[in-house]
Amino acid sequence: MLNQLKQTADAKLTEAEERLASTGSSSSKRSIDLTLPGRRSFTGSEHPVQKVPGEMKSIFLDKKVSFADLKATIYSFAKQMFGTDVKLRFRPSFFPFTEPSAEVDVTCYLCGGKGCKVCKKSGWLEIMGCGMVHPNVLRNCGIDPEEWSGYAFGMGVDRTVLLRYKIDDIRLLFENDLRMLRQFGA
Amino acid sequence: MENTIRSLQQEIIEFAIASTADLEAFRLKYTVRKGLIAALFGQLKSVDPADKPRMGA
Repeated sequence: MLNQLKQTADAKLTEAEERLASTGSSSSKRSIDLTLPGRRSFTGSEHPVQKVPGEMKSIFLDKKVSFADLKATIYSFAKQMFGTDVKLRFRPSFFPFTEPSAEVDVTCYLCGGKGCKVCKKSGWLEIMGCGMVHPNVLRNCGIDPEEWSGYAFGMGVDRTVLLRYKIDDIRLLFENDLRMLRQFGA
Repeated sequence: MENTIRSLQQEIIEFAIASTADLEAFRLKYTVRKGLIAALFGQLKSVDPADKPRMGA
């Protein structure tokens, strides 16, 4: 009886949410929180190493989302992925669908920021591009940019693997060498 | 407890949700962790063991 009661309440709640959302009541809209992993092929010039590189795109939309939220999310991700002592650098950049946009660098895993051949003596390695979703993108999707805002970022999965496991050549990931693959439980 | 469940079920069915305020009120009253349904699940431990499967179903 109790589970049945809970199911009745949940079903009524879902039905009401959908009904209110379809009538265009903007306050009933929910935030969008998406992460899309996948592979993409390059058109035009061929990528020097990877024919079909792995990528991951994320987008988050809600009311009052700011660049500070984006930075906090990326810091949190980087600390979990690369360790708590990692340093990040945000460089202003341009992407067509975000404004403002930035590229994110982490300290080089090999030299720790001193400069080496992997980071081309800069001490930094780029890991992703990011930015606040452009208001025109929201307008074209029927979302009011005065009320809603969001951030998006995307990164190459393979490059992130290199950084995490301190691999110095991306080609090792695609050679199907069992000595390499077995180190990852293959 | 059975009567409480039945009356609550009737109350939920008859609850009119016409706006987002009503929706939020419904959610807060019934489905949240401190709502009426969760409270009934808490009372389940005091139900007679013979009746428990029927009440929990």
